Amino acid sequence: MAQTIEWMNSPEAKQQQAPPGPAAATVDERVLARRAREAKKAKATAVNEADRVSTDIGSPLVAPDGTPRTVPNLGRTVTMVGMVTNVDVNDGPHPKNIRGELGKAMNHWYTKTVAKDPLMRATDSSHAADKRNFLTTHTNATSKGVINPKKPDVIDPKALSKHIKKVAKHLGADLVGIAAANPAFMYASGSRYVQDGEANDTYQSMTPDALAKRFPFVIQTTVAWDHDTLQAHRHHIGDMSYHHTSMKNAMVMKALEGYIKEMGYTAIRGAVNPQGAGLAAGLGELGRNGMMISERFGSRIHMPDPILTDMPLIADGPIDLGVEDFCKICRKCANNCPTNSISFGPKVIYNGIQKYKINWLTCYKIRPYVADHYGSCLTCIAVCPFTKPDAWWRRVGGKILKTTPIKARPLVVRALKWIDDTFWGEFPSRRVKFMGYDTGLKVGEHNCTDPSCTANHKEPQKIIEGDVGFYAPIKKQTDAFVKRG
Amino acid sequence: MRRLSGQGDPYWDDFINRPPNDVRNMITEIVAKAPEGNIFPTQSELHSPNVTARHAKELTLYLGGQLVGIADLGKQTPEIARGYPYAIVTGVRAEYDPYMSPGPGGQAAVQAGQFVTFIVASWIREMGFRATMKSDVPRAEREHLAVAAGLGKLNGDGKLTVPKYGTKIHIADIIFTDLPMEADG
Repeated sequence: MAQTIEWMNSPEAKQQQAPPGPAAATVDERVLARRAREAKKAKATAVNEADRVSTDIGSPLVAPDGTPRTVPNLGRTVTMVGMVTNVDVNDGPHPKNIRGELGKAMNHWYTKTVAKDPLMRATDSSHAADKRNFLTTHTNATSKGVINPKKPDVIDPKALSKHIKKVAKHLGADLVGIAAANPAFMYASGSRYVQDGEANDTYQSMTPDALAKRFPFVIQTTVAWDHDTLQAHRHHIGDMSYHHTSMKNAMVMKALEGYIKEMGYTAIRGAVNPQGAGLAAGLGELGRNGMMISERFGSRIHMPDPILTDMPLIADGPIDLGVEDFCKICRKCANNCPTNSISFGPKVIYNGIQKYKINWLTCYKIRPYVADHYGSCLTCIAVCPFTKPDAWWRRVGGKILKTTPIKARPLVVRALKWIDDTFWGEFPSRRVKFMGYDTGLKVGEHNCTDPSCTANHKEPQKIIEGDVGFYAPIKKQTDAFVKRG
Repeated sequence: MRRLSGQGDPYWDDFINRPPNDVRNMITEIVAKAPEGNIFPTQSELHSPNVTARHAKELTLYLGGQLVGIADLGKQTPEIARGYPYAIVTGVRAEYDPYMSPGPGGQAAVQAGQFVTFIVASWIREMGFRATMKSDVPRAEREHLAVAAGLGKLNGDGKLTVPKYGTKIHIADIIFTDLPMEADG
């Protein structure tokens, strides 16, 4: 059963936490009060790199080199309002970290540490003992297959679009969409994202504008994370929910890439921003937490590297689920974020694009400090009211919001938010057990809680009762590098 | 895997049945030829064999396997056992028989099975035990091990049938391991 922060701090809750059990997950009252004040201010907080928001945002109708552009329709949550400078993929967090630009601690953690946990070593690329044990090392390697010279006898874009979506689902995708390629959401010339760093294709020297003309469609798919294991956010169990679907995403996309080549068309990887493609293809909308929010799965999806192709298709459009209206009011992710990386304020304009922008640096920098306990925090995804099992009651709630006229949506949002807080808790902290891992244990404590286990463990076995998970009070850790308001 | 009908789709038959022009475009080939990683030098602290077996099965089902069982290779011939004491046998639902359908769609069950078995085998190696995912085990031997692991029975034609999926089941690459587990009957 989910519990609220208030309940966890009440005398009844403390009484229920029996002495042999884990230490109580304490929440600092001063932090709560300060976060409430920040929410009340409802303006851009210190997180938004506001100093980089230019006053002259330029025109969205031209590229920095003067090439005319069309403005992509990315839905209500993301709007292109100024000139977009194409991003070099090597300016992303991981490449910066590998080059040592984020400091020694970060670089050491990313490039030199091996995870203590065997499941992490098998499913996390940067902390594997041997990268050959990590599936995506092989599935994201540069494709060596050649394009089949024989195209299908009949080329019907409508039938091909329907076919390619069916193919993606047959190969394991949960959601699939087709976007019209637009240079605004493509990486800078010569910049390609691939896992093994061997990005080479014959079109690499083309500008994003020329590439979008030559290859007019982008195919984006995704695999949803498991809901139940995701409830163990800030824990290796939650990591598993994220990591294994990322691996599956990579496998599905590689299979689809190969099939497009077998059909006689080009499939380029690593050239398109995954979220931009997902928004334009209608897979979801962008939330306050900086994550895509889909109709069926909420935030528990991750956009893989999409496929840019010259296959004649029919593009889908963006969707309106009401994320724009919900995120304006909810702020549950911002309230729960352990590093205050999510803005309580309105959207900002960054690189010509108006959206909610998280502070990726503080979000990223927590990781070396908590690496023994979890890899990725995932709290903003787990607590998002949209992140629920794909059940009938969730679909009903989503349909009510979607079909309500925009002006009346704030009322519906407040009602849905109240339901979410009441039944799932303001700080969802469920106890989850998976493969011998148990969020009921204090972080760092090793104990077997399986009564049928007869092994002679190094540490004595304890009985842990209750259904509230232990969530590390990480304020002390984050205070080491996050300046709070 | 989903039930998707190819009715009304002019490209579906090729997707299921046409052999690839270049096998390097097949994800199943890429994974089958992927080199295995090393065994982690320090062995993890284990639970008792019954619990370890349950965890291995839990992981297999979580990753998308529909059936899983553990065969005791001590009861098999040395040719089948390959020097290992246990085999983890995973079944994935196969809408199309991958032995009869060489197209990328027909091989989807192989792909789904590889995803599961690769990660489970890697997890065992990262725990410090030997584990290898064998892609070259013939169908008859896979199905024989599936029977030994209690997944189903062989029918009159010598094909594996399982209670829930009948013959629409593909036995994924077998994991041979020395991780101490309780075998199924």
